[in-house]
Amino acid sequence: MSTAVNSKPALSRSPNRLVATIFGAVYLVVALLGFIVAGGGVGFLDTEGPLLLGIFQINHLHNVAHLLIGAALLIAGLSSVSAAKGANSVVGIVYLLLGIVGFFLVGTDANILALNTPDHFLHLVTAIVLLGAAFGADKSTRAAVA
Amino acid sequence: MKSVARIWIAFAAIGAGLLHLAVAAAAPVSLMVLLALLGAAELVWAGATLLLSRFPLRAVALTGSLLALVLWAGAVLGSRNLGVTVDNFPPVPLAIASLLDIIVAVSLAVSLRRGSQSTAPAPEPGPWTMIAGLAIGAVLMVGLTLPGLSQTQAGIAALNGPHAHHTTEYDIPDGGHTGH
Repeated sequence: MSTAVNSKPALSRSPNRLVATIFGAVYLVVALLGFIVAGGGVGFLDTEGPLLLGIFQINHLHNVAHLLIGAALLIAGLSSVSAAKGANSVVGIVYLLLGIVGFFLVGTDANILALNTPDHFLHLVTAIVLLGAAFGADKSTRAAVA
Repeated sequence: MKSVARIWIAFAAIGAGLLHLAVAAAAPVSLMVLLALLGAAELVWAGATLLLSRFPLRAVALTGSLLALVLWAGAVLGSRNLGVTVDNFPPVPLAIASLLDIIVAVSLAVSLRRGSQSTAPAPEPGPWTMIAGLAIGAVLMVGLTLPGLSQTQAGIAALNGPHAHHTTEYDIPDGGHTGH
């Protein structure tokens, strides 16, 4: 019954904690690189912006979103399995919605995150991995708790 | 590895569901409801598969996944009466969704052939194997699904602007009619 039991597995033994930590760290790096690439030459909500790594279009709102999501995932991944599962499912659902809705915003004034097609690919892959981990992995941990 | 395989099947159902919902958005009204129901059912079934660690309603899901193909074929054959065109019922997304549905159907058929499923969660592989499985499955699914989404009417309009809209009829032989 104790949630402490749910949080026992070490970072290296829990797919949810590993996924959250890795994706969190990567998104934090992406956010920092994004701020460097965007610099002062792009508006906070511009619908078009510079390309990160020559592929992913960004603006400053996009960078802030990466920063927050990266921090949330990293903290949850380093904390416990239940925190990692929660963060993976919430961020996964947000990214899934963004990957679908954002796809239809390209070329419109509503594209305030300056999304392009590679962004959608990355968001959808992230969503699927996070949701797959949250709902499909660490089952034995849950069974042990129950 | 059994649990990774099951997650991949759920991913395939998610991809098919997303494509069917995207196609439904611009489909003729008569088909819109069917496609939307099908897409929603695929997403719900995929979520249940992930949560339950087994395939729920295997026989029903097998039939449902094949219904997608029957629906597409029926719509094309009755395209003149239903108002179906290549634009409002695009073949590329439907072909990709059908491929994903066939993967689901074959997996369910194999599972049914093997008999009843255990209610206990299958043993999970090591964490890195699980993560590699999740990542490969996600890249494959999105790599197949995203090009399909870009071929839907909403996707084309989003990428090319509203002036990209045009109408192309399915070229169905009608026995004697010389066409136009």
